[in-house]
Amino acid sequence: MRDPRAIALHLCAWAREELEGQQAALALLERQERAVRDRDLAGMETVSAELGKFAAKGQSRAKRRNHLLGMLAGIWQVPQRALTLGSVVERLGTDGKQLAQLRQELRDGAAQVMRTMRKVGALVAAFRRVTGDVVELLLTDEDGTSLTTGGALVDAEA
Amino acid sequence: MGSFGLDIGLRALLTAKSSLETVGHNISNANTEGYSRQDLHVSAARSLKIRGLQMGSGVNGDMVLRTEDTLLQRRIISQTSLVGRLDSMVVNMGGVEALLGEPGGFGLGGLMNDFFASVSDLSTNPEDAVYRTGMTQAATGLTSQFRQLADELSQLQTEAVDRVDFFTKEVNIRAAQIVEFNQEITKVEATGVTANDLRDQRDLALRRLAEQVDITFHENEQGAVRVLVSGQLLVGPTTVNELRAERDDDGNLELFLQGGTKPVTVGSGEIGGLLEFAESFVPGLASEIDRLARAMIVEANRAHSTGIPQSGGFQNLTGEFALMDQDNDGAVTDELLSAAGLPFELRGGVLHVNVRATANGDLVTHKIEIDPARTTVGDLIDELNDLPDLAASLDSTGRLKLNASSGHRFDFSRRLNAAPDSAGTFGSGRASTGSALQEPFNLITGSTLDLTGPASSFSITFNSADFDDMSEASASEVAAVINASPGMNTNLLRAVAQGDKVYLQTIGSGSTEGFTIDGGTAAPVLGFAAATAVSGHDTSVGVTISGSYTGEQNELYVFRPSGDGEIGTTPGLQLIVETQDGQPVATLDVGPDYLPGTPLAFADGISASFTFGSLSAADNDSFQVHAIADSDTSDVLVALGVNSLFSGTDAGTFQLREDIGADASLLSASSTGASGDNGALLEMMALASEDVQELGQSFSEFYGAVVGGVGFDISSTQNSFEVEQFLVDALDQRRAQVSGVNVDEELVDMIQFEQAFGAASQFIQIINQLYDEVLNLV
Repeated sequence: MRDPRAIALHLCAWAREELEGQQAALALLERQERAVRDRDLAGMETVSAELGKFAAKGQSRAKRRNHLLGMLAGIWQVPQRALTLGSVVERLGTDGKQLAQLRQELRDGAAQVMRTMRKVGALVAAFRRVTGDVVELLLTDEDGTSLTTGGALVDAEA
Repeated sequence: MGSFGLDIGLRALLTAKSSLETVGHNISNANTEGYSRQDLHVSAARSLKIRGLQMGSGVNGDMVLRTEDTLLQRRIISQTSLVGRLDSMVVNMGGVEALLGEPGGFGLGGLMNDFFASVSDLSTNPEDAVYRTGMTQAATGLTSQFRQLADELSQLQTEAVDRVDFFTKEVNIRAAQIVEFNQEITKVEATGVTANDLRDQRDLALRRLAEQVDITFHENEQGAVRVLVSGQLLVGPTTVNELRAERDDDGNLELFLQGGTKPVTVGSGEIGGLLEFAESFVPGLASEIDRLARAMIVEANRAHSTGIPQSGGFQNLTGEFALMDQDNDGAVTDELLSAAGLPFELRGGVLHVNVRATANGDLVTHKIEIDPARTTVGDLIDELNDLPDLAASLDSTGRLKLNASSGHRFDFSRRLNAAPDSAGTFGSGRASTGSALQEPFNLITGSTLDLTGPASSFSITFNSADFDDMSEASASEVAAVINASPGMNTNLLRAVAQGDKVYLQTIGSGSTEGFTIDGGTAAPVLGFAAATAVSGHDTSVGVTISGSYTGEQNELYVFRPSGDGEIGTTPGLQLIVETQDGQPVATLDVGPDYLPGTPLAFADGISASFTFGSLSAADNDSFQVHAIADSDTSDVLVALGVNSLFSGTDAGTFQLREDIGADASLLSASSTGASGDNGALLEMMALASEDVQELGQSFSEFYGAVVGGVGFDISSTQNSFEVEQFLVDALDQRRAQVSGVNVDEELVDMIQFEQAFGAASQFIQIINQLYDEVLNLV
């Protein structure tokens, strides 16, 4: 496959899958936020598991995207790291019109996902810190020794 | 729009953080007494209208509230008071149980047995000095234990009362704490915040207060509680009416609240328990012990007072208890015996007084009728003073004092008079005649009795000044007037009162002795026939009474001959034995078949024997025998404390009479005065097993019932305490379920949350990297 237009069509298909992934990510993040607020332990675990599967799919998509961009870099004799969707659209000229539109949607969607992710991430971090403090309190002996910090494993055969 | 979304997130974050911090607070106070679990109450934040749309604005944490059950809390506080009362009772009653020393033989039961055993020992040999000392030592040990018990019960009572005083101070301290909490809670809650921790502390203070005194409490709208004790205000929203203990005029403890005029009735809490112990349980037990001591004093003294000491009788005796001028008129003698301040009750009855001449053993038994509701102190003293050779008076403290004249002794025993005809009115050989009529004699002033003796004729005139009531003259009054006549001395004559009759006699004996009753206006009134010549006899009848009277009633037996004749000679001669009121008891044949000197039984356990001699029915020959079952049926000796074994009136004053303790020969062991007689001791020994009048059962049964009652009270209080404590524990458990903090559950939750938050963070980080790459690409 040495025709850049054919590769552009594959990039458009990737972009559409990525846009669907963004919607799924947003939905998962919103569910996680609700679970955290509601202290819904089971909900949090379910969402975390789904996020794990979602991340695996995202990495697969990234691999495919990098392959396509690598082929374009070979055709155009440029380093792959120099290629962005914007430079690809520019080099394709009129053939990159559809990809240009998808690029804009991807940009807006990724920004939305990042904002939501920061918010939920901050919420989870705060909860994690307070919960950690409480667990520390519960596991601390009367003499002030914390069970979470006390002792070290020693290789008895050494 | 960006700012709005950020606000929602921030509110949610803060709310969730507060929720977790509340959990942390709960866990920190998991072991804090009285702490109630707290929960963050959340609600949806008010929605906002943005660009025509009603937009939700997230979540709000409204308030942190205690998880509590108000009714349960009230129930616990009320129950706590009950447990406090029972706990206090159980602790203090345990001290009483130890005092009694039963079972174990260290208490009164063993000492009572020792005392009666010592009486039994002495009864086998009443003259034995060692046994006598043994009995006084046993009596000293017994009475000492009674006094010690009374003293220790009194001390327990005093200590309990002192503790009530101490607890009232604690109540005031707790009341002050509650007022402080009231003020702080009111101040905090005025800002719209619920003062959870302060409320928990106030609840705890209320519970502590309830442990000491039963309370009711109400909360006002501002959050302050008013605490009432027995309906009176102890704690207001900002003030305390302090509790104080005072003794009333009778020495009873009363509790008052500051500003109150009516005593506060405390029925529960430790104070309630102490009051019940000090004012009901201990006095009740002390009263029973006093009752036992009084009964022992009365019963033992009843036996001892009519006994005879080793010396054979008394020359002088002084009672223990003073007769008092109760009407404050300056005189004691006008007081009725029933109202003269004596500590023991008298009954209507008789007192027998024996007066014996130490030289010849002549014994005269006198009977004094006593009616406590009619007999005055003066009457009793007069009656005693009327007895020949006995003087009665009150000493400077009002105690009855008795003195026998020189050569005489007295006692109050039921001894038989072995020679009852000391007056010589029954065939004594004297010229003797008795009045055919019996007292009272209806004489009038100026009436006369005309007699002719060996030396002269003379007339005796009766005047009202010589009698209490001349129309009801007694035989002894008439005899006294006759004997006062100079003609009687001149002619060697005398008059004697024997029973209800008057006898006129010559002083000498023999057939040459004689006198004549000429007449006079008094003769028919007295039952003497005019122109009656009376002669003596050369043989005199000797009368001997033997045996021991076993009858249950006091009796006076009158002996008279059926006709004139000689004992052991005259055919058909009989002696008629009657009671004082004329009821026939026996007819004794003393004719030819009677061998003089042979005892003839005539009543329960007693016999009479007679020597040869002449008897005359015409001359109203007679003699009397006092057969005494109880020589003091009036209990006047016990009431006056005359010849007591024990002194005192209750357990606290109970002791062996001091002079008996120093000289055991004063123990009155005998009831007849005969050598080796143990009658008084046998009466005392009977007390060991017989039901006694004052108690309705025997001493040991009564004491056993007292000890058993105490044991039952303690046991039932202990049971009640355990039941009520179980209830409090159950209520506490229920409260813990409602309000307590379960650290284990919280810990498991927290660890799971921590792990979940960790996992969520990791995935978010991965996804963040993915989208970071996408953003860099586009």
